[in-house]
Amino acid sequence: MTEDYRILPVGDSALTVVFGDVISPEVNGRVHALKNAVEKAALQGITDMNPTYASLLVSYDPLVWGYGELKDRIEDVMKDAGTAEAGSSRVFLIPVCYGGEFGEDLADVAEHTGLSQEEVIRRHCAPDYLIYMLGFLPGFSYLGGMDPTLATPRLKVPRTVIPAGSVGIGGAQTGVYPMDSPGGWRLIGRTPVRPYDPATEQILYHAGDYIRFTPVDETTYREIEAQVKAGTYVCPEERKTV
Amino acid sequence: MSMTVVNPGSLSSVQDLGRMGWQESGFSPSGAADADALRYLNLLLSNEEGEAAVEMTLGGMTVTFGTDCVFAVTGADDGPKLNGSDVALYKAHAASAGDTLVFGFAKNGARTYFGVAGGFDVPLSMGSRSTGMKFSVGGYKGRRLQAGDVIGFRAPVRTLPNMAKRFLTPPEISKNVTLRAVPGPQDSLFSEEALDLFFSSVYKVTANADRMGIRLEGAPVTAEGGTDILSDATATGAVQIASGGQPIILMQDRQTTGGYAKIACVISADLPKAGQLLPGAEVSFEKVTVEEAQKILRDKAAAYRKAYDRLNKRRTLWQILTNR
Repeated sequence: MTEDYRILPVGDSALTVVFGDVISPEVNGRVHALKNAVEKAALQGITDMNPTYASLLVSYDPLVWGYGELKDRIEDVMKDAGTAEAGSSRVFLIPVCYGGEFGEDLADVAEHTGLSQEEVIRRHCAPDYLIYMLGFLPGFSYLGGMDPTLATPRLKVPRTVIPAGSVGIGGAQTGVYPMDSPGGWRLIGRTPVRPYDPATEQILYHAGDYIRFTPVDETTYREIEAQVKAGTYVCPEERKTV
Repeated sequence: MSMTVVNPGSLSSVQDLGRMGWQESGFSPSGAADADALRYLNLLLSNEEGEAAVEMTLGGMTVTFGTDCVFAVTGADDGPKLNGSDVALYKAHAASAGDTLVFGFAKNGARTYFGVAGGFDVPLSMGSRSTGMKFSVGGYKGRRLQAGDVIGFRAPVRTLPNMAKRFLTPPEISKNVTLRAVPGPQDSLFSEEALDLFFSSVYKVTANADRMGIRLEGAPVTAEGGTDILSDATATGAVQIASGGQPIILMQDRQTTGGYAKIACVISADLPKAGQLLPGAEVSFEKVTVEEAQKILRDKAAAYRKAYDRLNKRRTLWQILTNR
């Protein structure tokens, strides 16, 4: 059997296991399966792991592992892990208040796509979005699975401040801004849920989990916002078989 | 048990050796840009190797001690003075409550480290005391220091064992550097000629050099198919080639993922040199293998242990009797 992955050095303190160069749930699934297997193997001297679309970065202490040694060990772990087993994944239901002051660009998206605002919301809330990876900002998730009919180009001039929780569409991608930041995506709504809670140091979701957006009205948004502030909000989740 | 920041200088923040284990959630590791300077600072102060200190970019800080303590300064020399008297770098000094420590402007490098024996009393956030300034986590209130900040001391001491021996020869900080680097992980996108050009050119540090990354300017390194890649994980020291062909050395506050090819990664042993680079400095890259890089790092760790032993070795009975 020929190897369908590559292991490459990333400097002297990290290596990357590359499974391909495409965005697909299958390739990404292998990345997460390997990450889980390496975690399970509880190897000493692994300092950090960062799963992305098609590769897993494993950072290590070079005073504990030589590159060649760790490469061999990871290959052993990969053999033992086999292929990604079918299992269940978590789906987080993220409440979003669409349009109005929370989603200033909803009308533009409707116009660009030729859909009604209601239909844009319906299609945006329909899929379970796979979190391929997190990055760019703490808690920012690169989601896959948006209905291609919702694709809308980014703003020509990015906004200098986008409020935390804003849900946007940028080209064929959709996502949530986890904190106030500049950005060029079309804003269609906002969620009061924050992916990272500094008080508990807990991150809500990880790469490999799913997100589904659920529409809420402003009253519900405000209620949830108050619960989030008080630290009492529990984001609803379901399990799905993958 | 504290000190008061009278003037924070241009950019001062609390940093340790970085926040590990959170990159998958998008948190950059943060941490000292010159980790060697931090390690040797803590060695002088009898602290744990990764205790947090104040990192100053380009100096300029002034603090007043509210408590007797032992402090030290490492990294770039910005001519610190305690109550007007010169303070030697790479040496443990005693200070008294009411003393004022003033830093001038960095002369030979970008970053200076200042710490106290027993450490600063800032909370551990996600396992680290480093300030993640972009996302307001860790350090002192998650932000850079400001005038009027009062930073507590966890366990201040008036003196340390072997106090007279607690000095080291300051390492030379050179303005222009050669950084050794391991090719990859995307070196295969570049032609042999482009790789040769990268490893033989002299680049200039631009004004865009900060804790996120150091932008260089020089011979553009291009790839036939472009340097855009499917976004993957970044690493500290990775050298990204952006669309114009100019290299960027990613530093501790880098984003955790990126969409540009990384032609090579600066070796751990040479990263501290990158952390001291000032705009206008000249940088070249020397190709080494990952095995060579790891050997260099092991040798460096051995040198650290030797210095550790010299400072912390218990005196023999003979030395005590002869008062050596």
